Amino acid sequence: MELNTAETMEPNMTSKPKKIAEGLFHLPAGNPAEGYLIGARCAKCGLVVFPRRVVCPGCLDRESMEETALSKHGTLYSFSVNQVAPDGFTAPYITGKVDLPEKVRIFAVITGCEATEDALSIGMDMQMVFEAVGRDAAGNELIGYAFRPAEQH
Amino acid sequence: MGKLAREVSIIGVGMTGFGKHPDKTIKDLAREAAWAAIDDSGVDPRRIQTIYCGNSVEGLLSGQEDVRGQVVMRDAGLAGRPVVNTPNACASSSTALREAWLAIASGLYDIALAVGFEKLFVGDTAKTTRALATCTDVEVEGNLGVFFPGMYAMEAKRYMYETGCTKEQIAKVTVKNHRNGCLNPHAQIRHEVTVEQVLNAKMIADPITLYMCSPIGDGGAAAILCAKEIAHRFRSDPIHVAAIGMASGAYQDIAIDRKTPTSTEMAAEESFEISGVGPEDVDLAEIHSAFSPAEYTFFEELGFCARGEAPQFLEEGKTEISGSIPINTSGGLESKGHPVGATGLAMVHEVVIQLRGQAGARQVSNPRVGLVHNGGGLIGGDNAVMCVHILKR
Ligand SMILES: [Zn+2]
Repeated sequence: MELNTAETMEPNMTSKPKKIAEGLFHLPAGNPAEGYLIGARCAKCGLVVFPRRVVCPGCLDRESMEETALSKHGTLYSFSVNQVAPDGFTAPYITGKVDLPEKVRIFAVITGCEATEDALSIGMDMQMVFEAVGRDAAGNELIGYAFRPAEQH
Repeated sequence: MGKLAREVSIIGVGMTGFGKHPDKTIKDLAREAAWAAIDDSGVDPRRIQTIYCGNSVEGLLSGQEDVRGQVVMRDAGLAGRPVVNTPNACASSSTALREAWLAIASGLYDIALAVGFEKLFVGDTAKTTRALATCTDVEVEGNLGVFFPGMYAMEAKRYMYETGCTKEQIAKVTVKNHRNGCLNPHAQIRHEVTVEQVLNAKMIADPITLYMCSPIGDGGAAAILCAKEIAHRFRSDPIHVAAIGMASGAYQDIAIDRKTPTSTEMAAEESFEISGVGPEDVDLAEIHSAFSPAEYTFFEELGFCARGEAPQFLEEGKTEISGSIPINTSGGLESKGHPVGATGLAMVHEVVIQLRGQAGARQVSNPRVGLVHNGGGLIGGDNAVMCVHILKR
C-alpha cells in the first residue's frame, strides 16, 4: 500500500500548530478523523512495527516492509499519571502504552479523561485521536497522536 | 562466545562523594576519582597505557560535547595515552569498564584506567531534565512527553497488576536502600525513611513517590584494571573480572507477543555464560534501582527468583545486608545517588570493597562473587544499554 504522507495542517488553527514529528502519522488537512499511525508490515513474516522501518527486525529482509495504517483501537497495557511535567507539557498529564491488534505497543499521551488514577484501568479499550499534545519551545501547539478511553456503547 | 586471551583483575577503585558539588567541574570529579583509584591500586600512574571515559550529558549542559575524556585527562595529568569516550546514558562508565576489560583481555595492554564522571547540578533543573530526556529516541518517544519516572511507573503499575505487588512492598525497597545508604560515607542521601514517609512523600507518578526516585547529583568513580598475571605485584587482594555481559534492548514493543528477552535477561545470560557462575552463586548485587520498583523487576530478570517473588524475598530479609542475597548495600541509586555517567563504576566500587572486606558497617559476611547490573536509556519499552558485570574474589 502506498500512502501519501505529505500533508498540511488545517489553515485556521491558532498559534501555528506543528506536527510533533515527521513520518510517524498521516493526518489529512481538515479531516483528523481520517488520520492514522504509519506502521510497516513485513510481507514475508507478517511482523508489524511502529515506527515504520526499512529492515524487518523479525526476518531481516530489506525489501519486504510495506507501509500500513495501524488500527485506531487497542487495550491499555499500563499508564502513568505524571505529577511533574517536562518542557511543553503541563502537570498533571497522563502517558500510557496501548496494545494494538497488530501486536504493536504504542507509547502516547492519554487524553479525554481526568488526570487521576481512577479515570483509567489496565486492560480498558482505548481509541486513538489526533490533537494538541504539547508545545514547542516557541509556544506553538504540537499536534500528535494520543489515546483516550473508547466510547462505551 | 569466543574465549578471552587472558584474565583481567581490578586492582584499584576510587570515587568522590555523590551529591551537590557547586565548586567542582567534571575535571575535578574525574581527577579525584581517577587518582583515588590510582592510589588504591599502588600502580605507578606512568604505567597506565589506555583510558576509557564514561560521561552522559555534559555536552548538553556545558557545551563540551566532544573530547570530554581528553579534557578531563589533561587536567588529571594523564595526557598522551589513547582516550576512548564511551557516552552510553546511565551505563556510560560500565561501558568504559567493559572496554578496559576487553583491551587487557586481548593482550594488547597490561594496565588500563576506566573513569566515569557527571555533573548534573548546573543551577537549572529543567535544563538537566531536558538533557537526560535525550537518553531515548528523541524523534519518537522524546517528542511525546517522555518522563523517566513515568516510564518506570508504567512498568511498576503493570507489575503490580500482574503479580499483586503492593505500594507498601515497593516502599520497603526504598526503606532498605536508605537504611543501607546511611552506612555509606559516599552516599548523597543519608537518612532513614519509613514506609509511611515514603508513601506520603510528594507523588511523582503513582506508585512512584519522591523518595523512590534517584536524586540529581554530581560525582566521579574510577577503576584500575590489569592483567591477572601481574595483579599480585600491586595488591594482595585483586578482584577478578569474571565476565561483563552487555546488550541493547530488542525493543520488544515491536512484537509484544513474541517472548523476546529483555536487555537485562540478555546481558545476564551472556555474563553467566562467560563466567560459568549462575545466579545461585552470587553473594551480593548492585541493581540499577533508578526508581525503587525497578529493583524488584530487575532482581527477577537477573534470575534470582521467579516473576512475582521478589517482594517476598525482601520481606523475608533475604536482600538485606545480613540476608542470603544482599541487594544495593551501597544505598542503591535512590540513596547513594545517580550522577549518571559515574553510576556504573560506583556500583563496581561497592562490590569491589565488599569482596575485599572493606565495607565497614555495611560489610556482607564473607562474599566471594558479586554482580553489578547497570542500565541506561529507554527505547521502545526496554533499556537502550544494559551491562551485567560479575566480579570474583
Ligand atoms: Zn519479516
